[in-house]
Amino acid sequence: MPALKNSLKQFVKVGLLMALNFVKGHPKLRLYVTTVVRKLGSNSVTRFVYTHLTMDAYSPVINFNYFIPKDVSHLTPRASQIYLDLKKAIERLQQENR
Amino acid sequence: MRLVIDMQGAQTPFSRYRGVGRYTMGLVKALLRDPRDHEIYLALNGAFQDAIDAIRGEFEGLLPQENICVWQQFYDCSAINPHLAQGKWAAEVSRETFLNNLNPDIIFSTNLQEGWYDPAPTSVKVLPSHALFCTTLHDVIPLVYPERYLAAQAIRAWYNEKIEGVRKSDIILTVSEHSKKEIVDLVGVPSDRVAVIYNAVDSLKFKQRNISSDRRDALLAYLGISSPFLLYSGGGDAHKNLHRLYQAFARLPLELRKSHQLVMVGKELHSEQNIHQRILKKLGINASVVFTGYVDDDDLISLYNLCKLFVFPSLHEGFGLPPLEAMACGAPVVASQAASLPEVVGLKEALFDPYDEIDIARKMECALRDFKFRERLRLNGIARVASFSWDNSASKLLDLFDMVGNKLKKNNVSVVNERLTISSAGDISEPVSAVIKGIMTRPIAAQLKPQEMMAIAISLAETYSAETGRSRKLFLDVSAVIKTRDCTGIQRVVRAICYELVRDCKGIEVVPVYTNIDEHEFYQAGLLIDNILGNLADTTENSHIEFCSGDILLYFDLHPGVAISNIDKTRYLRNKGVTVYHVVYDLLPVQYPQYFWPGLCDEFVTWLKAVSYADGALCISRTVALELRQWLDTNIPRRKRPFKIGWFHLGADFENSILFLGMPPDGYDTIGKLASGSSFLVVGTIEPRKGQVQILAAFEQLWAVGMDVNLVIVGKKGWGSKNFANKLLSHPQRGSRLYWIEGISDEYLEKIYTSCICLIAASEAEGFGLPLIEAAQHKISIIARDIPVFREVAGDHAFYFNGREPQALTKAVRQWLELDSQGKVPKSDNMPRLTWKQSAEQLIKVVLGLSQRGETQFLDQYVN
Repeated sequence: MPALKNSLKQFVKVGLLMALNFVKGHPKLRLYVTTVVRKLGSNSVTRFVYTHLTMDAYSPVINFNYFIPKDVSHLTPRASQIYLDLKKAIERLQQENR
Repeated sequence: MRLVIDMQGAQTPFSRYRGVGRYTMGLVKALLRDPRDHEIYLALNGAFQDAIDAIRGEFEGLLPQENICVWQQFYDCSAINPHLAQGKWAAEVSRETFLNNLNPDIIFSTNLQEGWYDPAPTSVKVLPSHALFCTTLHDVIPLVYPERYLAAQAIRAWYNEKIEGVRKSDIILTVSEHSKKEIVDLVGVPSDRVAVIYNAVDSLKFKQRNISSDRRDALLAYLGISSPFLLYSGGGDAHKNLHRLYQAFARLPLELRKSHQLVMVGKELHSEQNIHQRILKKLGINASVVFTGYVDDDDLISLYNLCKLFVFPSLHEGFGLPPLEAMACGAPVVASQAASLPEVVGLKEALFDPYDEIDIARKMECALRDFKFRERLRLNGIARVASFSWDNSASKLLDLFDMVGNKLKKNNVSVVNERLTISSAGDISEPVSAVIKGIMTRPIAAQLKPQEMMAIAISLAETYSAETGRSRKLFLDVSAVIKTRDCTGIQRVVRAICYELVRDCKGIEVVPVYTNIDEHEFYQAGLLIDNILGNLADTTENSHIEFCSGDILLYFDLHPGVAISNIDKTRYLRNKGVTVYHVVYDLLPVQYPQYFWPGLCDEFVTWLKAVSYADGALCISRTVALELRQWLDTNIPRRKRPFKIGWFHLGADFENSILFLGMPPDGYDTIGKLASGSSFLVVGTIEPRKGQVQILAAFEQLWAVGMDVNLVIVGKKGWGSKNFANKLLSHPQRGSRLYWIEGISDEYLEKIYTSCICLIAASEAEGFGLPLIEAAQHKISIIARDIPVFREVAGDHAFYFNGREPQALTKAVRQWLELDSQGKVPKSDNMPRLTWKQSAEQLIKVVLGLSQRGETQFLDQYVN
C-alpha cells in the first residue's frame, strides 16, 4: 500500500508540474492562476504552485535545447561513446538493484 | 597553494544581482589584485553562458583567461523540481570532479545556497577530495524563520542538505559577527571553525559623485521621480519588512509626504509590484511610491548620491550591503537596529526599531527635517565605509588560508603542492570515467532517463578533451573554399596561407576546418589537407572537431552566412576559453554601398556585427584595420572584453602557391602579341569600383591619337558590369590592342605579368591590392590611384594619379611613358613585399599575440 500511495503521489506531482508548465506558457492564464492562488492563502500546495508560476525571474539563461539533439544518432562520436558508457553503467546498476 | 573558486554565486540569475553576486565579484577581484604566492583558478558553470561572458570581461587583465575554467552542464538540476533529483546528483558529481581535476589545495564556494531555482549544483565532499573546502554561509535566515522559509518539505530537505555541506566544510566563512553567532547557535559548529570576512563596497565605483544637472534630470525623469526622495534598494522578501516601511511613510506628516517620494529599487520589487501596490493603495500612498525595477550600478550609484535619505528597515540580514553602498555614496542612512545592521551602520542614533513603524516614521521625519542630523549621518557613513574594503577582506581571507596551509604543513598532512589522483571515485586523469563511476555510487542514478543521459554525455564531451593534455591548436575556417570552390581573390589568399601553415607552422598546430550553415559543428577539411601535403585523396578524415580551452578559431574565409549563423557558437566557444578571430579583407560594402547590390550591403553589415562577437579581427592591411576600428567605434556599443584588431600583409609567391595550371589554346599567341608591344595590365574582377570603365575610356583616347599601346584586362565579369562586358566583347580594338581574359589559370596570369610593362591599379577602394605585390614580384611598373591602401602597399614604388575622368588617367599614362623613356619611372623591384610564407608567419605572429599592444602591428581597442 505505501508503494501504491507513493506512486500515486508521484503521479499527481508530475501531472501538476505538467499543468503548471502549460499555465506558464500562457501569460494571461498564468496571471489569473497566480491571483487565484494568492487569494487561497498560504499552504504547502499553494506555495508550491505560486513559486513555480513566478520562478521565471530565476530561469536558466541557457537554452539547453540548443545543445541537446532530439536523437542519440545526432550526438558527436565522442558524446555518443560517453552516452553508451553511461547507459551500460546504469544498466549494470539497475541489475544490481534488482 | 592553488585556490579554485566556484563562481556560481556571481552567475545564477538568483544571486548574480544580489549581495551574493557583489560579494563574489568584489572579494575575488581583491584576491586577484594581491594573490600573494597563491595560484587562483575560477570555475564557472556553463549553464549560465551570459554570466560567463560578463565574468570573463570583469577579470580581463586581472587573471589569464586560461585560469577561468568552465564545466559544461546542459541540463536542469534545480532542486525546486524534485523529479530532477537524479540530474542534480549527476551535476554534483560532475562539478566536484571538475573542481578536483583542477588540482586545488582549497576549493572556495562563495555561496553554497545555490541551486534551488537554478541549475547550479553545490555540494561538499560527495566525492573524496584532497582539497580543503571553504564555504561562505551568508546568513541562516531560513533557520531563524523556519515556518516562513522551510515549511515545504522539498525546500527543507534541500536547505538541510546545504547546511550539512557547511558542516562538512573545513573552513566556514560568514559576513558579519552577528551571522557568525547565529551559525554557531543554529548550525551547531564550533566558533573557531567560523571566520568573519566582511562584505565591502568597491570604493572606486561606489563613491560620492558630482552629477550634472542634465544627467540628474534625465535619470529622474526616466525613472518617474519628480520630488526629493527617500530611497530603498534590495529584495522584497518578508524579512525586508517593507510593509512597515510603507506604514511608516504613510505616518509621515502630510507636507513631508506630499513633498517627498519613496523610491523602491530592485528587480524583485518590480516583478511583485502589484502586491505592493495593493498595500500602498490601502495606505493611500500609492501615488508617492516609485518602483524602478532593476537599475544598473551606474544609475544605482546616482540614486544613492541624489537621495535625501536612505532607509533600510530589514528585520534580518547576514550583512546588509545596500546601506553600506549608500553610505559610500554619501547618502544619509537610517536603518533597523536588528541583526547585523548596527555592525554596518555603526551610529546608534541612525538606528530604529524595525518592529515599530512609529519609531521608523519618527526617525525618517527627524532626518528629513533636520539638515544637521542628515549631515551627521552622512559623515558617519563616509567614515564608517573606510573600515569595510574588499582588499582588507581578501587579505584577511588569505591570512586564514596561509594559516591553514602552514598548519597542514606542520602536521605533515600537506595538500600543498602535492598533486594526487583520487582513486576511490576514479582516477582524475580520466575525469569522464570518474564522473560516471561517481554517479553510479548512488542508486538514484538508475533513474536517469535517456534524454538526461544524452545531456550528461554532451556536457562531459564538451568539458573534457578526448586527448588529455593536448597542446593548443589553431583552426582555420575555410568553409567557402571547401563549399564553393570559387577562384576569388580571397580564396586564393586562403589557399596560399593554408598551404604554408599546414606544411610548417612553428608554435602551434594548424588545422583547416569547415562547417555547414545551421549545423554549428566543425569538421577537419581532409581533402584540402591531403591536397597540401600531397597525400592520396581521402587519406585525412573529415573528422569532427573538438575545441578545447586555449584553442584559436580563425574564420579565415569570407563566408558571411557561416559567421552570422554561428554567433551563438562563437559566444559559446569564447566562454569556453577558445579565442575566436575573423579575417577582415575590406569594408567596401559599407564604405561604398553604391558599388554593391543592396542585399550584399545588408548582409555585410550583419556580418560585421557577427564579427564583433569575436575576440578580434585580423585585417589584411593597416588601412583596413583603422577603418574597422572606426566602423566599430561608430556602430557597436562598448564592451568589457577588448576587441583586438591586428593586421598582416598578403604575400605573392607564384612558385610556392597551390597553382592552377594550364594555358588556353591561343594563350602563347596572345603572350607573344603582348610582349611585342607596350602592354598595360589590369587585374581584378570587372566591377564599377575597380575603375576599368575609366581605364578603357582613357585608352580609347590614347588609341584615337595614334598611340601604340595595348590594354589587357584580366578578370571575371562581376556585379553591375553587364554593359561594360558587352562593350569589351564588341570593341573594335578587341584582339589587336584590347584583350579581355576571363577565368585565367595561375600559370597563364604569371606569363601575362611577365609580358606587360606596367600594371594599372585604378580601384577607388581596396582592402589590400594584391596585384601591386604581384606586379612588383614580376618587376613591372605600377600606375596606381592615390588611395591610402595603395600608398601603404606600394609606398614610393608606384606612379600615382588622381581623378575619375578618363583624361586624368590619359595624362598619367602619357607622363608615365615619358618618364619611362627617360628611365625615371618609379621601379617596383624594391617594393617591400612578402612571400606567402612570410605573410603566413606574420599572420601567426599576430594571432598568437606575439605583437603586444603598442606595437604598430596590433591595434587594441575596447568595443563591443
